[in-house]
Amino acid sequence: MSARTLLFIACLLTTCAHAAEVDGRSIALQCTGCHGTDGNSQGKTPELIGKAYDQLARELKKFGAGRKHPTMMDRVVRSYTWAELKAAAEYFASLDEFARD
Amino acid sequence: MTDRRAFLKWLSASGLAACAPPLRASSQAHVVVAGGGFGGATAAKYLRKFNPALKVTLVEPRKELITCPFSNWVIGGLRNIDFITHSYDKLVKHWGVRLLQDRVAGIDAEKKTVRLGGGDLLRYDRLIVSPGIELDFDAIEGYGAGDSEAIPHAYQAAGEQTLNLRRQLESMSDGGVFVISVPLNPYRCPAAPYERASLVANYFKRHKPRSKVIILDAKSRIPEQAHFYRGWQEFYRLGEKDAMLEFVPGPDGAAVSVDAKTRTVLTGEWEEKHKADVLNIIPPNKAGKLASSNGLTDDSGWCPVNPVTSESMLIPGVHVIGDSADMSPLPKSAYGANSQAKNCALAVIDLLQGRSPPEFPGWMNTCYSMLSDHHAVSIMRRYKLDNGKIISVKGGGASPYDTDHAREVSYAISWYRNMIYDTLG
Repeated sequence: MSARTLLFIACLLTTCAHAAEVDGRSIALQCTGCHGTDGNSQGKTPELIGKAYDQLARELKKFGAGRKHPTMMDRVVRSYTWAELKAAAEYFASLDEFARD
Repeated sequence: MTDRRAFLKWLSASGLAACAPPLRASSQAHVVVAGGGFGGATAAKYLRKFNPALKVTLVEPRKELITCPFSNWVIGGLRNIDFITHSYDKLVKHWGVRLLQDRVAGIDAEKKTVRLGGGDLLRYDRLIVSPGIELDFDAIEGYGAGDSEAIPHAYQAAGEQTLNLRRQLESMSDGGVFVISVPLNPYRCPAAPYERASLVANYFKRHKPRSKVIILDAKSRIPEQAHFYRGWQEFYRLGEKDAMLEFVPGPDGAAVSVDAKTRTVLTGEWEEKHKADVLNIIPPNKAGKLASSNGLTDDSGWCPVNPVTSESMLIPGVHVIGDSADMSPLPKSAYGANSQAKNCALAVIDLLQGRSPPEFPGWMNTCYSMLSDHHAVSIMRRYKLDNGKIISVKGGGASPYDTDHAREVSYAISWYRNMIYDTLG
């Protein structure tokens, strides 16, 4: 099976079959203005790439529960559903840290 | 029969052909992006990032991007112009964007071509225009484009105008008056004029303490009003007898006319006179010329677009992103343009491949405003579609009063680095 065909099957599975589900990538793109492309931060804003899903989810829960005092993330977390945050965290966790742009 | 052909046969039999990606590698789809600001540059990068098979041409007349974000730091003397000057090299070398240093002179949407300043024609499959803003030089009597050398606006492309305003502030003697005139909504970066006034007052406080800032506003309410008022009281004695900063809200503060020779502004119904030593007029904004001269704007002066794809409601195949697009209540800001650009890039990739897009995520806006050199306020808000209308999502807003505002300054710098990285790098 060619790479194109595999890609195509992936397309079918991700977009055609699940069009109504939360799209982690497009949610995650709303984070990268502050956290850098792929979460590869160039400043003191924390990096999101290279972190496991559990770690990202734990941090997000802390922000939501008010157990951490960030500059902005408490407001960010309150603006999303947990399903959206989970999908974005899964996307960042899926990125290959060693293939950074 | 190869696997692929068998698969395609199965596909056409199953009626799923509408989902098929383009199969002719030889006829590579071409997306032209006009304008290399936060909208256009981000769109060009993300088109290539998520579909490296696409041919992407970015047409931008300027050699470098000098950003409006952080240009107030330059005007206030906190950074020099190099800090806000960035090359397009990484878009070309790393992302494989074809960069043409030229301007788009015209769009022929029927033939799907753009004409460049030099006369060459570029054929496109999809066109994305991100032309920023144009200033309305007919709005204030006595203030035309020709007056911007003596009286800078410093509000369109940062660079010469930014430096001009900085030089004027530097050569002003202590005891002078800086007057800034702010237009009605909508305009680019709603908090920027107030940040500028704050950082000029901050400069005066440190270097020319007998000087004064006067804000003349066409509006009566300003963004993050409580934060700005509190900061102005605390740092610049707003409301006191010896105030370093004075605020004249609309309608009394609305600039009616300007006498360029004497740097005098008349405001409101009673034509109250305000004389400046350094005068900064920000005229009302409208969509960039590329949009208005190619039929992409409506009577409002802005571009109506389909919010999901950013495709123009007036000209099919042409997408408008950034400040020119009418996306209210999403503010016209760098972060907003960057957010629109990424959605638009994904939509264009899906449209070219005949795919249906995934669930639409809406947009995000974040920005930082400096009230002094050690005090910043952040604002964040998410925007979503609700029955086809853009609404702001509950939960966002400005920093709490009791936050560590010095820490916000360091995050403002981090914000800037990552915005540049996400747009150009």
